[in-house]
Amino acid sequence: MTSKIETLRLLEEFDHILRDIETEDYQALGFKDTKPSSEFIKLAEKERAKLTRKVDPRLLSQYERIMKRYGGRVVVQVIREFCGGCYIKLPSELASRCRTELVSCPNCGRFLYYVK
Amino acid sequence: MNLTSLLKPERINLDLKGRKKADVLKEMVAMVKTGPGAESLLQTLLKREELGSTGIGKGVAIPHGRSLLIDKLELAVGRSTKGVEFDAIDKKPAHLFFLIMAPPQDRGNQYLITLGRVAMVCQELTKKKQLFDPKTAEEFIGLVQTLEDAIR
Repeated sequence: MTSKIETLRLLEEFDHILRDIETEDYQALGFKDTKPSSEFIKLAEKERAKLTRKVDPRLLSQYERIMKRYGGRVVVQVIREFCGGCYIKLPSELASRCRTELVSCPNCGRFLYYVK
Repeated sequence: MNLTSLLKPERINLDLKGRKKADVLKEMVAMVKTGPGAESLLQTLLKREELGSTGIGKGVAIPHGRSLLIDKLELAVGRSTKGVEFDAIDKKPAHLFFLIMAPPQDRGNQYLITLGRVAMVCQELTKKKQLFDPKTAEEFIGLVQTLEDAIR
């Protein structure tokens, strides 16, 4: 597994946290320091920047583009040679390559993650 | 949906050993994921903690997050007799931990509903000062069942 895909996975999971925090249901739970204040936004941006700094700018722009297009599923599991995002059958060679390098689905462009 | 249907005795550890936040989270994660994925889940949980502690006070913490490495909603419970500094809302050490992990997208958003139910049950648990009553995992599940029935 490449560290690039691990960083992208962590970035996406962090974005999910932020997305959940923004919802009314989450806000009603009353967790500490997560009210949508300017302090919180500043902290969230700082913590997100720690992750984005580790990502190549070209990859990051690809990540942001896919995030915007598909509303939150950027890194997806490969399930028996199928893309876990758009469910297209992947070429075997590609499905195998995602175990060792960063590859995207040829159909939807999402990053493919192989779960051991 | 009720919490007792998600609670499994093998995912309840009433004798956590860790004394630090990261150590306790590691012990909790080990109940839902082993192998290289466990470290990845830990990273996600620690990132959530960076935004503000999930220690809700009165000795309870509810660490949570979504991960690609999780196929379905997972719940684990841990208890520490000595307590763990968790930077909780009331600054008191946390003794009871409910870990909630969910896939990036879950049907009907069960994740947030479960978080809400856990928070409610924990409130009752602390109100009735029953945090340390259960001696076994089965007793713990029984207590949660009683509290859930009462708030239904």
